Amino acid sequence: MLKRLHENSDRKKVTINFEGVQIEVLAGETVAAAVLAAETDYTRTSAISGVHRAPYCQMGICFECLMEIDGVPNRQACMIEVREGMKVNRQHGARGLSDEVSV
Amino acid sequence: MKHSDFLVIGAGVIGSAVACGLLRKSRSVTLLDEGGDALRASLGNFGLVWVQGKGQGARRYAEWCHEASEVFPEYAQKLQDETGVDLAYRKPGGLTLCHGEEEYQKRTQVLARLKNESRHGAYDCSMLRRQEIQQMLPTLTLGPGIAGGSYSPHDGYLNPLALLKALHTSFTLGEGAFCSGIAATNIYHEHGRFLVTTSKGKFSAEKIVLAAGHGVARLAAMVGMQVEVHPEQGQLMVTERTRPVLSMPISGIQQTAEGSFIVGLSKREIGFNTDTDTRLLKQMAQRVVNAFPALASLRIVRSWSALRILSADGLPIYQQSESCPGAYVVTSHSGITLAPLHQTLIADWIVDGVQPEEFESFGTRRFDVEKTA
Amino acid sequence: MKSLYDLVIIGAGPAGLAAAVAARDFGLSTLVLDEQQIPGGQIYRSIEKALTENTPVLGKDYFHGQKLVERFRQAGADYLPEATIWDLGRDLIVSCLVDNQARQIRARHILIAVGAMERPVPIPGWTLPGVMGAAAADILFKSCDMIPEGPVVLAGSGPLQLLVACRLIDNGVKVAGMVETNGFGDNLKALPHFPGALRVPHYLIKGLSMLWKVRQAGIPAFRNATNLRVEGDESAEALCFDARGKAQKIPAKTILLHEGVVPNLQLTRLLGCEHQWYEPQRYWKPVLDSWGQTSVNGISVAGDAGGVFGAKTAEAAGHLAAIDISSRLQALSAQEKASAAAPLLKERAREMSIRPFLDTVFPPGRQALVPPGNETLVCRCEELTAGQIREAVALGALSPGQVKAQTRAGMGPCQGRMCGLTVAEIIAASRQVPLAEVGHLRVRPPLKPITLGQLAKLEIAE
Ligand SMILES: Cc1cc2nc3c(=O)[nH]c(=O)nc-3n(C[C@H](O)[C@H](O)[C@H](O)COP(=O)(O)OP(=O)(O)OC[C@H]3O[C@@H](n4cnc5c(N)ncnc54)[C@H](O)[C@@H]3O)c2cc1C
Ligand SMILES: Cc1cc2nc3c(=O)[nH]c(=O)nc-3n(C[C@H](O)[C@H](O)[C@H](O)COP(=O)(O)OP(=O)(O)OC[C@H]3O[C@@H](n4cnc5c(N)ncnc54)[C@H](O)[C@@H]3O)c2cc1C
Ligand code: FES
Repeated sequence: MLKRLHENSDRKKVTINFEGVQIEVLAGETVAAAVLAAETDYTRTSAISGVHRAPYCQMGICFECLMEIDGVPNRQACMIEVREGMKVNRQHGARGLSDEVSV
Repeated sequence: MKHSDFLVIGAGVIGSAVACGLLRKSRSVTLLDEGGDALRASLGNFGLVWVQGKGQGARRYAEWCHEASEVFPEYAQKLQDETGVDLAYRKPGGLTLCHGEEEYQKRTQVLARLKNESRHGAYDCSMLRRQEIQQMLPTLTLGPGIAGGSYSPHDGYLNPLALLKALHTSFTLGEGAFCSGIAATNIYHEHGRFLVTTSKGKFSAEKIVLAAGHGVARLAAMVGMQVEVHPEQGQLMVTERTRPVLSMPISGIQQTAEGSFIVGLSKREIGFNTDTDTRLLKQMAQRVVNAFPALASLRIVRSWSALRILSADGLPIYQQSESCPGAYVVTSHSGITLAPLHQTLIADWIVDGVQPEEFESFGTRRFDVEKTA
Repeated sequence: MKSLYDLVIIGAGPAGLAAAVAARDFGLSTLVLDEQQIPGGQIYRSIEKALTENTPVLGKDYFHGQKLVERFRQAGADYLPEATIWDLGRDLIVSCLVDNQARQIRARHILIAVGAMERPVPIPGWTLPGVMGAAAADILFKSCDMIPEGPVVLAGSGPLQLLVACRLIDNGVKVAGMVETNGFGDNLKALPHFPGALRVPHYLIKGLSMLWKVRQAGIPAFRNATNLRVEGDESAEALCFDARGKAQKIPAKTILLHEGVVPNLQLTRLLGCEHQWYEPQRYWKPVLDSWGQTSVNGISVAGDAGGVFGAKTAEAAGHLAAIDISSRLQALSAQEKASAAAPLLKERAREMSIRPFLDTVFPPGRQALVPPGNETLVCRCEELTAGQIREAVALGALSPGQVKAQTRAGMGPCQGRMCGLTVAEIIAASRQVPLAEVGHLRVRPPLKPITLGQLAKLEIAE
């Protein structure tokens, strides 16, 4: 959905894992942007009908960009910058609760 | 001027249930509500259909709640079939958790007393130790501080907003006249009839029911009744939707049909104020995390508060005016739990004048007794 | 970090930054909180990231921001980035989430400078992937050096839409259509405001040159478009609409919607500040005195959060608020206050003179305010349609709060930010009453989600 204006920028490259696939992105990008630049169209399925949704506002208002980041569900991917080794997954509907998670 | 046989003032869960009940007997029922978002207990409550622990020192109230819970499954099914509104009512039994041994001992005493007071010692609620509770809740690990708790098979829960919507839908389907956004200002009793002035014209009726929540005292005075209720604030929090893990309501923690957790059960007396207090919210969060450490990761999306409508002794007030017969006051805490009885016994009493058995414990006379004693 | 500041500023856009610089000049201990990683706000977003590749396109205005941020960095204000505000009370205690920890900070005075948000544009299909706000595209451009994949269709109305169109053109993205919901009639209505706008001719020149660029690029342009809808299965494939007397369809990969910008009112609503209805752009804004003081003691507002009047106005307003607050906190005499404020008041008045014109030329489209059909999704979180909102009104709901109780509209994670205005407009239209009579959703903490665990560990400020 998105294109980088300067693929060969001298900004640092960062590798993140999106849905099990390693992708190379640029430092400073938000998770939402980085994922949309990787030929992705949707980033979550809605909590009720399960339809595809994607980031809408890019500024923390709409909560459409909810993703699972480093094992934590329902995070606003447009507000978080990529970090080396980050694990990113689509948020599928409502979150689960494993008895071990505890922040 | 609009005339009807019955005019109900207040379309919260109590007025609406009574109005639906009246519709079974009469084709001419009007239900008024002033609207406005503030102070409406029916929009801000916890949704428990709850028996355990209620009615200490007031046997009739304990029984009244129990009777309601007995008929609730059939009541909910009927209302749901009629209106198509999913009430999300379930009756898996309910738990009250005890944090630490001291709470456990206290709870044991409370239940023992309720059992003693009940008819033939029939009070049905048992104390369980931590392991037994853990077995009932296999999908969530109890925190180490939980000593045990009490369990009653009669408890259940529903979506209280759906209940209110279903009642309004049922009332409208039954061709009752629902007038939203109209506030009753004055009531006059003339020639055996009631004349009610409102923010939008006059209404008249043969009988009127005052179910106006916190507005009830002012209206009751106009038909010669002295009724006192006071607000007690309760705070709640709701979390993001989560896949189902908790299948039983716990006093203070439940997972709704949508998947959100609702956390609640604080109490404070600060008048007609619905602001939340961070200190109390924090304490509530601590109790939840202590009960189930895994819930610590859940995001809170909103907190709110609502005002309980309490009489001096916390019991319902069901009373017909002596000076203006045909005017009735119906107000109560636990309006969710008691909905089926308000819709049947209370409505029948208003139509036929047949008082349900042992009703004096819910009349205003009881307060006179207290005052003289 | 202190536990008590003279001034806590929420938002590090032009308003907040200008206020921080001035407050430090007057000697106030000052803390600036913002949820972004670096200062700049919306217009000067990511200015320090120095995505140098962008510089020629972003232009002179953007680099005015660079100087502002530099002055802020040197001013000696404490600055807490990536801080999410989740509660703010009349007791002037700010609750925020920083590094996954909930904490509270006390202030003698608070300045809310949280800016604006794009007005949601509920049309059929707007929830499909491939549909975004036009300002969202602008954010991606500034902060991530990215642009949407073409062909792109822009739909709606507003100066920002024009700006984004130019940016796409400059970057070689194929713009397949510019579909405006406003039209010549709005130009006529704005005519009386034109003389006022002439006080700031550079804005008009900038606007005209943008219009010229769009025309030169040969982009198919439509005005007075109605009945907009996005078509597509799993993602957006085309924008359909009626214009020039017939049904139109433009295939596209990305559809950018825009119907103007509205103040971000979460904090002022939470505090129960008085608000007023601003008819030209159909939004609420807090009632402010000429210094930005709200109806609540100790709370001021500056910038777009008090009404969308642009970056330069925001900067002046931030500076003015800091002067007022300093005098309230006795760091400034009445005389010093008056002389410091005089040039700023002038500057602000001049900057504001373009607004009546802009706000009339670019009114929010009727369709975006009150979706005419019943099938349009209004509440994205709880997936509720305009028809379901109308049903609730038919069943007696009079206010957004009552509609919410019946339908769940506004109960999801965004807490009504996306549907609140639309729900109120639908109620007002159905009941045929003025919008002000319908009211608004009550805002409650937490403004942004915090976990039960974080709340349980909160250290309460005494
Ligand atoms: C925090 C909290 C949690 C609770 N949890 C539970 C629970 O789990 N289970 C349970 O059974 N009960 C619970 N309750 C109690 C229950 O919510 C109440 O008993 C019930 O909602 C009361 O309903 P009501 O119709 O009397 O009051 P309300 O909902 O307040 O309705 C009164 C109505 O009267 C209208 N009105 C007032 N004055 C006028 C006038 N002059 N003219 C026209 N209309 C007027 C108002 O607009 C209002 O709609 C809880 C209460 C609170 C506060
Ligand atoms: C998306 C967008 C793009 C825009 N692009 C342009 C443009 O290119 N050109 C132009 O002339 N005008 C543009 N505008 C209008 C312009 O942003 C404003 O006129 C100007 O930036 C207003 O400045 P401000 O200081 O009031 O607010 P802003 O610049 O919006 O700054 C507000 C700051 O507050 C922070 N914030 C908000 N809520 C919270 C919270 N709860 N907790 C912590 N921090 C918070 C935000 O992160 C932001 O940094 C844009 C507006 C938007 C919404
Ligand atoms: S895209 Fe709207 S909140 Fe992230």
